[in-house]
Amino acid sequence: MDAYHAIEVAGVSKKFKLFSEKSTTIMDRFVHPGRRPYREFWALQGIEFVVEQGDQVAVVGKNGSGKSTLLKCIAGILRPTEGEVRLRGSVSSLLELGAGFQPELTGRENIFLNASLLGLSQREVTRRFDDIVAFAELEQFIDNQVKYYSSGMYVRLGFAVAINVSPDILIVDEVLAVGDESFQHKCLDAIKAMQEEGVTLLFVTHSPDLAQKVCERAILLEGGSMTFDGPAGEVMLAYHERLREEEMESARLAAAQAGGDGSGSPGVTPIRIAGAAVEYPGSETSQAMMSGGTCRIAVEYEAAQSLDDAVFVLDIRNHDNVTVLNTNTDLLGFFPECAEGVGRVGFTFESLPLAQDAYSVSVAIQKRTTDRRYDAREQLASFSVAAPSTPFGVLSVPVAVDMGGRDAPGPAGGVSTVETVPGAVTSGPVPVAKAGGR
Amino acid sequence: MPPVRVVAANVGLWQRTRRLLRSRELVSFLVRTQVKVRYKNSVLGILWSMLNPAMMIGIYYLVFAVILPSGVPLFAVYLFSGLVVWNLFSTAIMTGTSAMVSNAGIVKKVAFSREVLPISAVGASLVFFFFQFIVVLIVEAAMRHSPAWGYVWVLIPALAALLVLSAALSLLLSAVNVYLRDVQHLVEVFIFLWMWLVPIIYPYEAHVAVFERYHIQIPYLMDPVVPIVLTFQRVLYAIVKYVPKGSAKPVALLPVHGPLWYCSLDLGALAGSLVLFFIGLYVFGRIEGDFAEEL
Ligand SMILES: Nc1ncnc2c1ncn2[C@@H]1O[C@H](COP(=O)(O)OP(=O)(O)OP(=O)(O)O)[C@@H](O)[C@H]1O
Ligand SMILES: [Mg+2]
Repeated sequence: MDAYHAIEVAGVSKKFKLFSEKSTTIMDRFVHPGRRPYREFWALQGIEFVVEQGDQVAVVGKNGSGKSTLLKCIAGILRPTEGEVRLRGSVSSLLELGAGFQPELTGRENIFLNASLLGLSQREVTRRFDDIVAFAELEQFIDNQVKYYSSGMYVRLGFAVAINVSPDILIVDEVLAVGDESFQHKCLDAIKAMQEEGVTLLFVTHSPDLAQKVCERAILLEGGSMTFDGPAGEVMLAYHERLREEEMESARLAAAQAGGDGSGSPGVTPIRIAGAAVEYPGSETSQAMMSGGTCRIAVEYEAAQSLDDAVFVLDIRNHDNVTVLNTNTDLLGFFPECAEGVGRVGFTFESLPLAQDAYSVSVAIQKRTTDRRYDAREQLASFSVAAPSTPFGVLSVPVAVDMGGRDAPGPAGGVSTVETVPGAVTSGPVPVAKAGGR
Repeated sequence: MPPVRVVAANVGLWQRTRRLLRSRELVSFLVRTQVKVRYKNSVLGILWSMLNPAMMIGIYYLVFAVILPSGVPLFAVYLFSGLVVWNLFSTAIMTGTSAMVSNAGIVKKVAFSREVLPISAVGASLVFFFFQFIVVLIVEAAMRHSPAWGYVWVLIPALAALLVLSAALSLLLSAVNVYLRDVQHLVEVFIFLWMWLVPIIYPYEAHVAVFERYHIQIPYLMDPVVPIVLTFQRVLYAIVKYVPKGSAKPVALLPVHGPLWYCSLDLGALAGSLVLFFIGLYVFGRIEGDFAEEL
C-alpha cells in the first residue's frame, strides 16, 4: 500500500474565551447585561504539519503549551477556530484520564459504551471483549462499577479499549504515566505491534525516554505554536535546552529578587560552569577511549567571588540516557575552595570499564546542604568508549566462565552482575577529584 | 486510501444527517444502557415502570370514580390514555435537555456525533412509554373496555410526530442548556404549564367550551401535541360523548371526526416537527463544536 497522509493539520488555531468566572445562569446574564467580560486566549496558533500513514509522532511541550488542545482538535472533540484537520482512517483516542467512562456503569458496560462510541458494532465489541479484559487484566473487577476503580485501573481499561478497536490512527495523551511498570511495558509492546501493522500514532509524553523509544519524530509546542518538528532525539534535546534556559532565567530572577543576601552582585550567579573537557591520558587517540582505560574529566568554572560551598556534580549517561555514573565532590570527600576567577575541578577515573557506546557528561554546581543550584549544564561534553568485545549492558569487564564444581571461583571472584541502576555510584572505578587554579 | 474525514469549524447539515443515520446502532445501545441504569440496584427492576402507572391508575380511579365523581365515565382510563403520551413527551424533553450536561464525561473525551445523546434520551422514554402503554391495555382489558379498533392505525403517524417533535426539542434544548444551565429548570416549569394547555385532565370539548364562553379564539390545534394526545385518547378511551346522570343531553368529550381527520392533523404535526428537527440539527451543529470546552 502506498503511504499517504493519515493526518493533515492545516493552519489550525484554537481560541478559548477565558471568563473571569464562568456564568451559566440567566441571572448572571441579567446582572451583567451585554457581553460578559472575557479575555481571548489562543491556545493554538497556526499549527501545520502532516503525518504519514504508519508514522509515530510524539508531541512534547511544557504544561499548558497546548498539547492536549491539539490532540483534541485532531481527534474531533474540539473544533478548531481556524483551519482544519483532515484524517484518513478510523480514529481512536485516549485523552487524559477517564477515556469517557460513566462512573455508574460497570467495567463491562463501559467497554461496550466506549467501543460503541468509537464506532464499533455490538457484535464486534462482543468478539473483542475478552481481549480487552485480558489486556487490561481486570477480570476480577470487570463487573464492578467503574467509580470504584483506581486511576491506574481506569487507564488500563481505557487503553485496552482504545487499542483493541483496531484504529488506523491512535491518539494518546500522556496517560501511560499512571499505569504501573508492567502495564507500561505491555502498552509499549502493544504500540510496537501496532506500529508494525501500520497504525499511525500521535502521542503526548513528558518522558524523553518514551518519546525516543517509540517515536522517530517529535513536535515541540511552545505557547500554542509549533517551534520544532524533526527527529525525536533532536527535538527532545532542543526542548530540554529550552527548559534549562528558562530554569536559569528564573533562577537568575530569583537571585535578583533575593538581592543582597551577601552573595555577590544581584542577578549574577556566583559561580557558573564554563566548560568541560574529557581526556584519555595514555590513549593513542583523542577520539575514543578503550574500555577500562583511564579517563579524566575536567570541569571549568568561573566564579564571581570566592566560594567554599560549591559541590560539583558529575553525571555520565549512555546513549539511552541512562545514568551509568553519578557522583559529586562531597561524596568523594573533596571540598573545593574556589577562588574568584576561572578554575577547574578534575575527576580522574583510573579505570572506566564501560561498554562500547557514546556517553554524555552533564555537570552541575550546587550549594552545599541546600537545594540551591548555582548552575547546571546538560550534556556538556561527550566521549566514546571502544571495547574489543561488545557485551550488552553498560559495563564491560573481564568475565571468567567455567562449568564449576565446588572448586570453581565463587561469585565473589568474578563479576556476575551488571549494574544498571540509574544514578547509582558504581563501586568499581573510584574517581579522584582534584581542584586547583589554572 | 481511506476516505477523508474533516474536522473543521463547520460541518454541513447533510453530512450531519448522514453521520446521524450511521449511528443507529449506537443510539440503540445508548437507549438500552439508559433503561438498564434507571433500574439498576432495584429488586423489581423494569417492573417499576409498569407498577408505577398501574398504581397511579388505581388511585385516580379511587379518587375520581368513588370519592370525587367527575361524571366522566372511566375517568382513570381517560386520564391515562392522555397521560401516557404526555409522560413520553415530558420525560423525553427533560432527560433530553440535560443529556449533554449529564454525559459531560463522554462528550469531553470521545469524538462521536453528539446528537445521539438527546436522541437516545427520547428513545429511552419510548421504551418506558411502551411499558405504560401495556399497563393501559391491561387495565382496559380488566375493565372490559374496548379501544376504537378502526382508529388504531392513526397511532402510527401520531407516535411518529411525537417522537420527531421530542427529538427536535431535545436537540435544541440540550445544546442551549450547555451554555445556560437554567434551561433545564425552565423546561420543567414550562412543561408543567404546557400540560394544562393540552386536554389531558380536562376533556378537549370542555376546553373548547371554556374558550368559547370567553370568546377566546386560540389556534388550539396548532399545538402539535394536542392532535397527538387526542389521537391516543380517541383510540384508547374511545368514548366520544356521554350522557351525564339526570340529564338527557349528551356531553362531548372528544372531537367527533373520522380517523382521516385525526390522521391529517397528526401528519401536519409531523411535518412541523420535521422542520423543527432540522432546525434543531442545524443549531446543534453550529454550537456543538464548543461543547467540549464549555462543559
Ligand atoms: N476549555 C478551556 N477553556 C479555556 N481555556 C482552556 C480550555 N482548555 C484548555 N485551555 C487553556 O489552553 C491552554 C493549553 O492547554 P492544554 O490542556 O492543551 O495544555 P497541555 O499542553 O496539554 O498541558 P499539560 O502538559 O499540562 O497537559 C492552557 O493555557 C489552558 O488554560
Ligand atoms: Mg494535557
